Amino acid sequence: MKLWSRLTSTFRNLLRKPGIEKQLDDEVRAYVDMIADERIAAGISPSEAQRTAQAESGGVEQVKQAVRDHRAGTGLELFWQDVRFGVRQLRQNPGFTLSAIAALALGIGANTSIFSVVNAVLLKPLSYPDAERMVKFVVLSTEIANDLHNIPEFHFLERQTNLLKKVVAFDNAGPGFNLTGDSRPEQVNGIHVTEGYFRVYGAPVALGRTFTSQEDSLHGGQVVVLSYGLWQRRFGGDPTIVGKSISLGNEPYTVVGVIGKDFRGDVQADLWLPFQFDPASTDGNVFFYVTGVLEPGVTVAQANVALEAASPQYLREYPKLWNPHFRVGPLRDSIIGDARNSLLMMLGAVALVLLISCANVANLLLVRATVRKHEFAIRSALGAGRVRIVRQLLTESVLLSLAGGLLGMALGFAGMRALLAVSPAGLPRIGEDGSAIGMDWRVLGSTLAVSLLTGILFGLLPAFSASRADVISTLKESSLRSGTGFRQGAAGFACPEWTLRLRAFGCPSMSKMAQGGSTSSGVRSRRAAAGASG
Amino acid sequence: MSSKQANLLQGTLDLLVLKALGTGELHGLGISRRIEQMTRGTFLVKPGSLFPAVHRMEEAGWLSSFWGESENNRRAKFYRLTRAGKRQLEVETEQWATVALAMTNALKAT
Repeated sequence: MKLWSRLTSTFRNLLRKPGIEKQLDDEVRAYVDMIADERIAAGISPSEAQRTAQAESGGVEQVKQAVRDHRAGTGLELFWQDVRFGVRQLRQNPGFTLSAIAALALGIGANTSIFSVVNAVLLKPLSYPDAERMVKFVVLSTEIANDLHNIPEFHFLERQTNLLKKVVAFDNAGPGFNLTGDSRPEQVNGIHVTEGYFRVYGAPVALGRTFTSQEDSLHGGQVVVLSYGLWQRRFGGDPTIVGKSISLGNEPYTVVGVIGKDFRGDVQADLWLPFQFDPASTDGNVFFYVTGVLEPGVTVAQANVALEAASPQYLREYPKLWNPHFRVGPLRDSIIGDARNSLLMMLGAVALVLLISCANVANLLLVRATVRKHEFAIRSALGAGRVRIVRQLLTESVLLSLAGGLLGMALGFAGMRALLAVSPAGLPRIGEDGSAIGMDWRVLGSTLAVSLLTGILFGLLPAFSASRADVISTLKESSLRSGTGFRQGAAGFACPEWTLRLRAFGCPSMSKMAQGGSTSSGVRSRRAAAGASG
Repeated sequence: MSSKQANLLQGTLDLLVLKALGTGELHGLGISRRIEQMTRGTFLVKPGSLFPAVHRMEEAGWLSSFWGESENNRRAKFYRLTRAGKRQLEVETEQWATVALAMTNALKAT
């Protein structure tokens, strides 16, 4: 009830201000006039009566101000006044405003974009069911670690059941399969996988089922599992697709299932075929990857020791094959690979940029407050309280920081896209065209908070000193000369930082890094060029 | 203006205004005079305290106001208690009685 009453009063006070002011004036004047009337009736001269009545009431204007100060919505009104004045001030000094906003936007934008990528690539856990226990196998020769394996190695690893809960194999897409049939022929990405692949990678089944171990054994029949994308695109999402036959390379394959939409394995594929390894194979050709899930409680180090100890056993079984030294490492590390170092370095660089941004803004604010000393002196001479001046400066700083933050957000988003366009193939785990990377709101929030804090802190320091300043002596100085010495010193401070920033952005090693080491493959450079021009 | 004015407890003014309006509608000067009369001249409420208080109480919904003619034909703003104001007067009267009794007892205690 009371709250509602105050709320409506606030709205009325703010919206119908002229009418309310007029009524207040009438009311207070009537009060004074009535006292004067009594005096006149008592025989005092009208002018004298009016004067004493005024004096006794403490002045009409003062009474009105006292009422205004207690009025609902006064704080809101003052705040709005500050905001409007602040915006006007900022617009009158476009040089200061633009450089401060640009500094903040660069700091916030760069950090947001880099951290969003770092988060998606390095920090987010893998989306697989036993992700922490998932490992990738490599075979060590004298120098090189090779992550390709052969069939005997796979079968040997599969038998290490005390270490490994499950071992699965998958190959690379290769040249693809020709999908023919009713409509236009199409080349699709297909990979071979072992039966446990879908379970280990947590693939959701949209329709039908995945391969049985029967189907994954030698002469298990020609069966295929489709991806959601292919099912939708090629077969129009046909709900009766399971059990139907499709033609791959002119061979009929029976569809046994469709995988759900959000599935992302280590290798992208449109369809999956079973490997159907021959258990008796002694073929030494290496052509597929092996990953596995460690038994609960088994560490990577323990697994490595046990695998090394098991090597002689392997040699006894396959005496004609080359002696492998099996090693495992966390799956996530092998996926991220070299991207870690360059990303961390860029993160460090942009953190420095943020620091420089804040230093710049602080300097600009300091310089500005020095320049405005005269203005504050006049305002306090006119009766502005210290709180009021501090509030005004704070509002301006926050306005500035918010503008910088908004622009930084836009810049961060654009920067993120640009980063992906420059280096799509160099970065793992970013999904198709970087779809796995979202704007990271936490980092946006924290960089915004840092910039706000900078604004408040460095807006506050000069505000306090300005409001404490000796009004008379400041006013005595000519407005042109006020605070000249300090001003030049601070401006000198601000300059090197700008140079530093520009250097950081122009740094050749940074731009090289941004290309993600695209020297290794022509395909990558082409994609990078296409991304940059498109 | 008197030193007694400074002793006017925070919250006492509200109760006095409510009480002054308990007997009927009054304009600003009327409230001030009524309080002076009720307290036998102990409390002289100046417009600088009175008007902020009545405006605040009106915003709180305890008072309502209207423009009317004063006894000597001046246009003046009159205040009267709303139903919420009457309830508030009862509540504050009770509270004051409790406080006053407690204070009296406390000061008498040896």
